[in-house]
Amino acid sequence: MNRRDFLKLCALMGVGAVVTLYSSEIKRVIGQVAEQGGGKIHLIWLNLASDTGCTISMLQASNPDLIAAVEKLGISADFWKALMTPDYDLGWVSAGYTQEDLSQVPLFNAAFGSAPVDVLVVEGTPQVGAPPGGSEGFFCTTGIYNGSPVTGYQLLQRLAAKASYVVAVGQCSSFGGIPAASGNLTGAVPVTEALKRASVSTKSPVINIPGCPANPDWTLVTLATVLQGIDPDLDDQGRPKAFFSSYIHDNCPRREAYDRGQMAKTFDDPVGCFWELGCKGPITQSACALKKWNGGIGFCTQAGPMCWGCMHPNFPDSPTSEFFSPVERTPTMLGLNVDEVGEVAIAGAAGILAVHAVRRSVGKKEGEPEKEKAAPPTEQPVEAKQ
Amino acid sequence: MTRTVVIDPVTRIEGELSLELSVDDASSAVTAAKATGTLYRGFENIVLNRDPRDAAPILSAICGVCYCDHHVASVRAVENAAGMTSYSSDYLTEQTSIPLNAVLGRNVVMGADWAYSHMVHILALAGPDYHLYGLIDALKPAFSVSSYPDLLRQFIVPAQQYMNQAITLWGGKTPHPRATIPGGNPVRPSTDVIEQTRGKVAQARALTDIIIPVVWNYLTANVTQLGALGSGPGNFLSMGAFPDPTTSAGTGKMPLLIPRGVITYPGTTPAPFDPNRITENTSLSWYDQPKSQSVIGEQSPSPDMSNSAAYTWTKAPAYDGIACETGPLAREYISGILPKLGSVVHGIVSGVAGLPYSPKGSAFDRMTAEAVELLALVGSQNMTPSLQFLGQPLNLSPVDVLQALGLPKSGLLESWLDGMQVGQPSYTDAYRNPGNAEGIGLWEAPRGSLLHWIRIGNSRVANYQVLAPTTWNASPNGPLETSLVGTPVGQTGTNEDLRPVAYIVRSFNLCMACAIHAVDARGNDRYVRVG
Repeated sequence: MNRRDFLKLCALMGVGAVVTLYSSEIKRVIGQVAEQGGGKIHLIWLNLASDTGCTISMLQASNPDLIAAVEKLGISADFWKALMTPDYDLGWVSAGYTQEDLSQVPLFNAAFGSAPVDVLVVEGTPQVGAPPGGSEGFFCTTGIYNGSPVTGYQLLQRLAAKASYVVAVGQCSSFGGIPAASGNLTGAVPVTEALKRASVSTKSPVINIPGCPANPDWTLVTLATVLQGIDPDLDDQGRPKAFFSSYIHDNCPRREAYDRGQMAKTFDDPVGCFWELGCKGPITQSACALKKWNGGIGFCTQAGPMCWGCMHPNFPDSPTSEFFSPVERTPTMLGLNVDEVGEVAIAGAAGILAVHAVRRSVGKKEGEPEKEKAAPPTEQPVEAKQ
Repeated sequence: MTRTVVIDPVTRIEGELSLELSVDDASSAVTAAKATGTLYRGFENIVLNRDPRDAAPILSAICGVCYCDHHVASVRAVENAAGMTSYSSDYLTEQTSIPLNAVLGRNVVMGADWAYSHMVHILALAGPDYHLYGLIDALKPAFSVSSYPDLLRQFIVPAQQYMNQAITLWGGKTPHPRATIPGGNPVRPSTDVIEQTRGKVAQARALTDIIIPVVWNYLTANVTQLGALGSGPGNFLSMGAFPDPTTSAGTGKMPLLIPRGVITYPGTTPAPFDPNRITENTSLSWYDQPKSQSVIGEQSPSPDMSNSAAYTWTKAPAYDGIACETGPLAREYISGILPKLGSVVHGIVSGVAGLPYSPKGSAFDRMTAEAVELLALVGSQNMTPSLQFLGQPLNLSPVDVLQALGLPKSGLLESWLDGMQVGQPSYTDAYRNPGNAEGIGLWEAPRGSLLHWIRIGNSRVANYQVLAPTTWNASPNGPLETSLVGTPVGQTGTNEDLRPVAYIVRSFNLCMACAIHAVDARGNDRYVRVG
């Protein structure tokens, strides 16, 4: 990790606060967009082969929490299976006990009908395989349309082609995750690969927010960023650089112990570094150690007892597993030296500077509807500071 | 004339479920029901040939809602295989070589996991179908709650977050804290972490103390209707949870707070549980071997949709050949908690014979059992005697109920914290790969019985089987399907027609569950929309 990335990271993490502070301005801009698009920002949350852990993770979001974020960002989640209203559940089947009305179901209206889709969030792995005796994608079906079961793979293709943004939330949709691990029988592949296989092109690059589960605060910040009309700066794996540029090991609370050569010999060592016991922090890029989880009160190397590499592109296969075998030491991963640690303090101001970037982009949006390819919102202010 | 009603997807659950109901117009009732699980992932195949310890962090992702449960059941299976934990021959007690603190630490994490899960299910998944239990009207005079989003913002989201934060203190993060490993729970219980956990429990309790009495009074006011809906097969199963290492026998012989047992209709007394009597049948499921085999040592069938009789990915488990219901109702029936509560109520409102209200269970019994379990876990400081039954005053407070049931009023979570040996180890590195061995991990997830079974060969995972709660409850010809037959369906052509079906489906808390509704509680809009 280099210093510049670190500054970017701290800076963009400030956006969560910006969302709260500038909610009225964001809302105003979104309101203008929404006026043209029918009054709402339409979000579809599509579950494929998943365990719903990323939805549950969203319930753990803090500052803002999910309810506040939905309000402040003006999101209309037209379909989020776990979120549907009771009216919807019953409404499914109420029209004279026929299936005629299924086209009115928001999911199918978005996928097959005329309903708009601004943001598609995918939770879970697309399964492109065909079980013996079944058709392509039949390992996961959701509903019946025109008399046939609709596969998750099919829904993904239709919705991704239509959406302005496709955000793969969680390890499964980003990189395939556990359903696509060695031994899987279902043809489970990452969203990008499934779309490539189906020759579906998206309006903007698929954004990957890996993790088992995805960190809810990062997901909300990323959604906020795209809803402001800023394309987040992505790395070659499609991840927002702001959250996935540094190695966990570089910012781990046990890092000092590592620098002293104090290596833990058992998992209940309260201080020592878990590298030799199998910790995957040295090979896993993520901001976990910086921002932590569940309102900032913990993360895996504090209790977990180690990093399991759940955001590494290959999780849960090699090199993240064997989980209890140490990864090789690579000199380039040794991270921050003492001088660089001092610069963390400078970065603290970046969260405030981020405000200007957001406001500037909002201003552009008012006058000029077409999107500009913005760098991480804080890059310029940070450079200016230097 | 019989019509077919399809609910697909059933929303507000985890995973994919489709319901097909046959409705007879003449009798206005459901005459047949089919529950179809429409997602197959194949975890048991994915863990093959790995280090046995690597199974748990992978299998936890079977469920992102009851994430702690699959994780700990897998760890317990591996510890059992390694000889660290063993069951008595009648499966009533356990002994272990992991430290007392590790046993209690797992109890705290799992208890908080149950509590958060029950909060989310009662309030955010089932709640909207149960008219939110009248919470908005009940709370309006004292709180600024006038809509469902208000309820979410001020009560539901924070309450479940406190429980998740309690887990994070011991497990690193949620969902999927992967902290528990063979040998124990590495976080050593310091005064600091114990007190922080107490703080989280107290914050959650302050909210449940307001909510639980309202939920209780709603359910018991409607017991005549809800108690007549959703009778299952009447067979109940519990695989046990929460071993107690604080008796004089220590970790050498631990009774279970939630005992193992089986009740078979029309009996009402639990018989001992034996995992070797469980079979799984795949004759109605999409697999290549349409047959029945013991779950212990089962050879995983391969997915195959060519069997024309099959209609689901869910297998059909059975105990001694019979379908069983699992979940809070089963647990409290088998542990005796529910009958005890029933006798308390009967002593005051003699029109209620006892609990469970229906001997084969009902929507009322399942929802009430879940609420009582939540109360038992987080405890109460509410001494207002506001509880009712059939709308009649019981002159009991939540604290009175806990005392009548012999449960600690500060809740089970705090009682496990109380039992910890501060500063002492909660982990032993004595685990050694046994090379060739078999192990069983028995546990109860929030939604019911959970079994993990592992065969280790040449130090690798040679075979692995998982039997989850919803496999019991939503199986072909299982409790959910049985309970839906005979359900009255309205003929007004409105959404209300299927409300009784919704009551029943929700009462099973299908382990696909979890969610939040950012919605207009009046149901004017089909879309999720706030503000």
